[in-house]
Amino acid sequence: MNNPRRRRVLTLAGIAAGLLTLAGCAKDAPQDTWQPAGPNAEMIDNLQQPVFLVAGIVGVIVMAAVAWAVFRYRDRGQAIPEQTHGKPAIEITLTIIPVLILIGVAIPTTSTIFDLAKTDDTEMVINVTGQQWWWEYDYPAIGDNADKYGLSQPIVTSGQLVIPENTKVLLRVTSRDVIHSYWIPKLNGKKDGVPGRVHLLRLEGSKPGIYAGQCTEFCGLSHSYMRMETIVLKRADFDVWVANQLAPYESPAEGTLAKEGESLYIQQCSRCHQVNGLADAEGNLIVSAPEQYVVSGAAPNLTNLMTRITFAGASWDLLTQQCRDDVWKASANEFGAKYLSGVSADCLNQKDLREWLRNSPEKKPMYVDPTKLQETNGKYRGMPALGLTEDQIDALVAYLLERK
Amino acid sequence: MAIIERPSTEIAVAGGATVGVKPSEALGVFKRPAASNSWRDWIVTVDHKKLGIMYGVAAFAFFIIGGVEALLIRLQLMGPDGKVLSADQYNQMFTMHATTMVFLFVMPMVSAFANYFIPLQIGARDVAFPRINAFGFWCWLFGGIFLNTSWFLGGAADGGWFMYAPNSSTLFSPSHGVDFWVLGLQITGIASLTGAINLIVTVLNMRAPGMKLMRMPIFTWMALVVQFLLLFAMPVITVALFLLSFQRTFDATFFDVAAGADPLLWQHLFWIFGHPEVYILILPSFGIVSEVIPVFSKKPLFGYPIVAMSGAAIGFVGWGVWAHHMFASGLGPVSVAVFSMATMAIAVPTGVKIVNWVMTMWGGKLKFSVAMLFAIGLVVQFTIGGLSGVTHSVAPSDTQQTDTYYIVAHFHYVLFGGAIFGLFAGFYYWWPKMFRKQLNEGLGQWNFWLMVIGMNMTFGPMHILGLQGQPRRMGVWTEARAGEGFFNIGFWNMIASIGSLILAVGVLLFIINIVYTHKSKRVPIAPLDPWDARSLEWMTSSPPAEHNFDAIPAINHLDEFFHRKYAEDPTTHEIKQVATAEEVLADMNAHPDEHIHMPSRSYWPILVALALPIICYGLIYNRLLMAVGAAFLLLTMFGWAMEPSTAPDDDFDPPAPSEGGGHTKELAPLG
Amino acid sequence: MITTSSKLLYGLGAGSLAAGFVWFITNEGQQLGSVMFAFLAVAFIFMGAIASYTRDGHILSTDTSAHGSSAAAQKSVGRSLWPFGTAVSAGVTVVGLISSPGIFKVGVALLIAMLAEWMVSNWAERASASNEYNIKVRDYIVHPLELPIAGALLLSVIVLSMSRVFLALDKSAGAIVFAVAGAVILFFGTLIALRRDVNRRVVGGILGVVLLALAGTGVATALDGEREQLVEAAEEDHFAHRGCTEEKEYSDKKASRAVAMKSSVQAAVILSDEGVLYAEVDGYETAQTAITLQRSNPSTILFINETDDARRMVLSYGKVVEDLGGGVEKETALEACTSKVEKGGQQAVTVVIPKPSSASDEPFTITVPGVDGAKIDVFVP
Repeated sequence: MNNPRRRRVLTLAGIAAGLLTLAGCAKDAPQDTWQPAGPNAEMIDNLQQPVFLVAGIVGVIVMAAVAWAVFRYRDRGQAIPEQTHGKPAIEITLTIIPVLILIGVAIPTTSTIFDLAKTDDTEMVINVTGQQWWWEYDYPAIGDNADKYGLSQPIVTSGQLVIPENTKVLLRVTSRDVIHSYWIPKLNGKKDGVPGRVHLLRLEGSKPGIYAGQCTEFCGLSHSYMRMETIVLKRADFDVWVANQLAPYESPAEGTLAKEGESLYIQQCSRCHQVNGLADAEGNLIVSAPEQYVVSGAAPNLTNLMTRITFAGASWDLLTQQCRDDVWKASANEFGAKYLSGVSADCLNQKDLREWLRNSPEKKPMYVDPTKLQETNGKYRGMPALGLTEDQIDALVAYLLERK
Repeated sequence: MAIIERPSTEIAVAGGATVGVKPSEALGVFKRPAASNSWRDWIVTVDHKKLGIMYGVAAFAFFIIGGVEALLIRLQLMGPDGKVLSADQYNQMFTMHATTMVFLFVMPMVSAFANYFIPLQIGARDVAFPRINAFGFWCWLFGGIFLNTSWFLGGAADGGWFMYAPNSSTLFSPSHGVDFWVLGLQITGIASLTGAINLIVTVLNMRAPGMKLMRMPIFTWMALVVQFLLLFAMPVITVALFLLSFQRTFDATFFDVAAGADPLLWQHLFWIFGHPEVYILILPSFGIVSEVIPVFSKKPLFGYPIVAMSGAAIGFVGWGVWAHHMFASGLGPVSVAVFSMATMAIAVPTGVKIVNWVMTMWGGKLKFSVAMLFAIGLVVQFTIGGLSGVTHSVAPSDTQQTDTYYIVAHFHYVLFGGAIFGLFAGFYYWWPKMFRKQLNEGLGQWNFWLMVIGMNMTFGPMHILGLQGQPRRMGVWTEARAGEGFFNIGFWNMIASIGSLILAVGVLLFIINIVYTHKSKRVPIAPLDPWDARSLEWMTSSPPAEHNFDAIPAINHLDEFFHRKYAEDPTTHEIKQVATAEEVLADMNAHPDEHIHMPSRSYWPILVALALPIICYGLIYNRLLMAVGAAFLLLTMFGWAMEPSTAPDDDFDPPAPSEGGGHTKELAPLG
Repeated sequence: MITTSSKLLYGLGAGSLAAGFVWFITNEGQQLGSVMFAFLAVAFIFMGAIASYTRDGHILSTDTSAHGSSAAAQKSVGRSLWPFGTAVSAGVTVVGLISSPGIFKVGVALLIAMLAEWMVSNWAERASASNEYNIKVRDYIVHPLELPIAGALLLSVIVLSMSRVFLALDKSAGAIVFAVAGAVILFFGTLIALRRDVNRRVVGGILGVVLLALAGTGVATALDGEREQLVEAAEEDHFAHRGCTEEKEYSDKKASRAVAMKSSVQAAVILSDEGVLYAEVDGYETAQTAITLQRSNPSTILFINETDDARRMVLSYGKVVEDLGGGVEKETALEACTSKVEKGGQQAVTVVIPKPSSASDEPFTITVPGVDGAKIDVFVP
């Protein structure tokens, strides 16, 4: 009986050891917590690597002791052992050792906690607001944002957070409805967005690229579909991005399919989705009124939809598989240009976008049953199916394709 | 039902003559329940052992329900974009899986063992408040059933077992699931609270002569600590549940941000309950293995006082660590640092226990029965869970791991690999005591090994999944974020799902083992002392008579039973058997106690408990029904209050002649 | 056996049956009458059967012991409250029928209760030959109904009286009365608990007097009305006083107090003792003169007044134009205000701003009326 037992113990030790070497083995895991790409995540990583190692060693020692006891002291007909109730010396020693180990862990832990909470050297502030089931980012045009980063107007975007490289960005995380959690594993640990509260989370990316994340506080029906990405751009690329975001609205040329799409957008979409600068036939600017239709009172701003390469809570790609890989796997130097080129007509992932426009609740579960509206005070929680015809979808796709 | 008792059959009338009176026949249905062999006896019983068995059977049924829920979850996550469950069903499934396993399996299974064995281990005849004990059981059972009826009434709760506000409000969870959850837990909470008070009083007041606190078996010690934890933790969750209930049912705004509330209030309340709850779940299993390991090592528990005191220490420090569930929820760095260090501190008494178990085995004479295997399984797996817990106590690291599968792995190693393995050790160890038959060891080996393999295959890979960034509570995962290479999420999800099936087969073998043991003619009656045990519960017949001990033993030692069986040779210092278990028992029963007084059966506990779900259905569906339930509650409470705690002799049919004839018993004749 | 009374009942039953048959033949098409007679016949025959079975309740002449032990032989009927109670209830019911449905319902409830009590007493008095047992059996059956209802009534009297008293008393006086009353009850309770031999009647008497006094005070204070401040608060609709209406006596007078809501505010707006208005915002190290609030997001703003004068904070966030039809439009300014805050006081206001500030003609601001130049810009992207 001892042999399988021993083998099991060894297997378990093997698993523990395997965990320790995990960081080195994982390849291309977009949410790997052991591959930091910024100083905050590195701080955490520098702390957790030795802690995991110590934990692993302690685990192996305990299991070895169990294995030895099982092997050595199994009943082989030996006499009934001495009925000892313990040896204080052993007990005190074996209590003090873990105390010392834990003190050794506690000291760096505490200093890291305070380092991570530092905010006095912030260079850029971005408000991050969660709602069912997507993230909104707004870049206030006050303070350093305006003075140093050229934000003459606030920028409102969603899904993909764009930040300049090597910049200490402070996120002010909050929520409009239930609790969400903002987590980009390669840049920092997670922080809950709690309605009514503002929580601070620092992000800093040291290498241009795209960093995936996922809402990690259970937030209802489509919690699984609440994803996000943080894009780190070189400073020059970031300036280009800002300029593009603030560029005035251009209406599609008369007579094109996109123009048809614009009027359809005004009818069907602009109730909730803001496009900055979009005006009705009389030239009045259109201000969307999501507060009348959805519980969270917000819907993604689509002014520059095609500069983002994912949509619907970053759940689906706007790029075809090939174009997507081209951007996601681009080297640090090439990444900026590739990302800034946005979504072109050739690269557009027609399938998912069209499915979405056809029947969004089917693609991403949402509480949008019109027969149950009284349960939610007459408002939807998510985007309802609009019942568009294929022709209308063609027009809308053509219009949206120009939102860059 | 003692609201009506028959008059004495003989009544004195003036003049000294006695006249026979024919009692009114109408009283028949109101009679106080008497002992019988039928199923009715289980409904009216107040016997701690019968209640213990009922707790066990019902809890195991819920274990199977919770297990099926878990299997559905694993099937859903086996591959990317799972289609087994809809998003809504998935949310209900993981909510109810956790709720069921915590409140309807592990806690009541602990109650089962505590109910059955605490009085036996301390040499008492029953618990201090037997009717309240029965009431607690029925509350728990009805609460559990009530909770699960939500599946058929528009869907179960879908907010996670932590039920964070504001996601639990009617706006975000419009079905009645959360109402069922809140009210169901309120009802089961009554069971925990009454049970806690009952067992605390029992342990403090009803120990056999000579049984000092430091001579109590360690299971009783751990169960006592747990009862104190329950006593203080349950009121907190009760308050929280009331707030939520009022918010949902009466439009209160405790967690409504637009009205100026702070949703974090719920989290604090929940985890002030929720963290001690973790120790409520695990400490009894620590107690069980602390019984099992010494027995099969033929050595006393190494460092008994330290194990007992570290249990108590966990009970105290356990109150100061709740916010480690909230490291990501936006506490300030000072609170995070304090709770981080408190969490590390609690690792010390926990580690001490592991050290003591290993040291108990060290130098022993180990016999690997299935009970012992499960106990060793706990030691090893709990160590893994404990160490991953230490990595969580490092708050910055925790902000990466919390709410990922890493934490799912952590607490399943603690709760499945720890708590549930401990309970299985208890099943195998105490089965012959409770049911006179030993569970089959061969099938038990299969049961154990399949559960070990299944458990490690299911939850081991979750460490990897978590560190690779797979968040928990997600109904689907996507290929796009799965990564490549050996550590890709897809592969390990598949392994975990296969492991869960193996685990299910392992648990199934346990059921087969029970059926085989009790149905097969070939399985003999177990000997009185099959394991050469050490503590008091083995010092009586199996299963024990209703009054537990014919004579209450006087206690001179820790491990009293062992000391009556074995003695040290004063010259050679060799330990030799001086008496068999049968001899010890015969010696003890040579002078049985007279006038053993036992509590009487009663209808009221089940009736009072029955009123509660009626009120709760009323609260959800119809206020009139609530009034009916409340009236019923009032009546039954009154009936209970007016019932004498023991039935007078004349309340029953003539008592059956007592078996031994050596002593009289003032108790209802045993069926 | 056909006993005397059963003969009568069987006869009536047969008669009813016959009558029903006759009705059926003579009143063709109207079967209601025959149905009624049929039921009557069933009832009579059933009662006849009972009479037969119980042999008219006569004790068998062969059972000699029954002469001494039957219930009837033991004791005559005792005193009873129920005939009187039933009569009073019937009276109340009739009065209710004339005057108001409320009294009528009470009367019916009383009537049912009295009849039920009467019925049970009646049964119990003949339940056995033991008088002692008969009393006990009555109590066992009726107490579960009597005592909870009586207890509930008693409790409601106590609770109602107490609440009336406390609503009438001044806030601080109420606390003192409550503390003193609690102490007195505790003292006497302890005293009685220690002296077990105190006559139960004495204790009961004292409790009765106290209860009467309490109920009396309750009635008196109920007639007198609630305390002045509560009346004032109710008139001002104190609990709904959230808007920027004119300043009010009660609401604004009582507003200054510390707010336990520092961690969940979007911004703390502070009016310094020099009259400078600035905001402290999480995430910004320095004092701010502009803040950003998310659209459609419940945001709490804390106002702290450090000046000597009582001030309120006003958040203006645009206006809504309502079309009243016929070309008439009504403009309403959107504002959120705190109550007036005294020196060192704090007030929080929670507001949801639906529209972005860029879409409004007027800028969104936080101001303090009466303090020139105190202004913070509010951006809503």
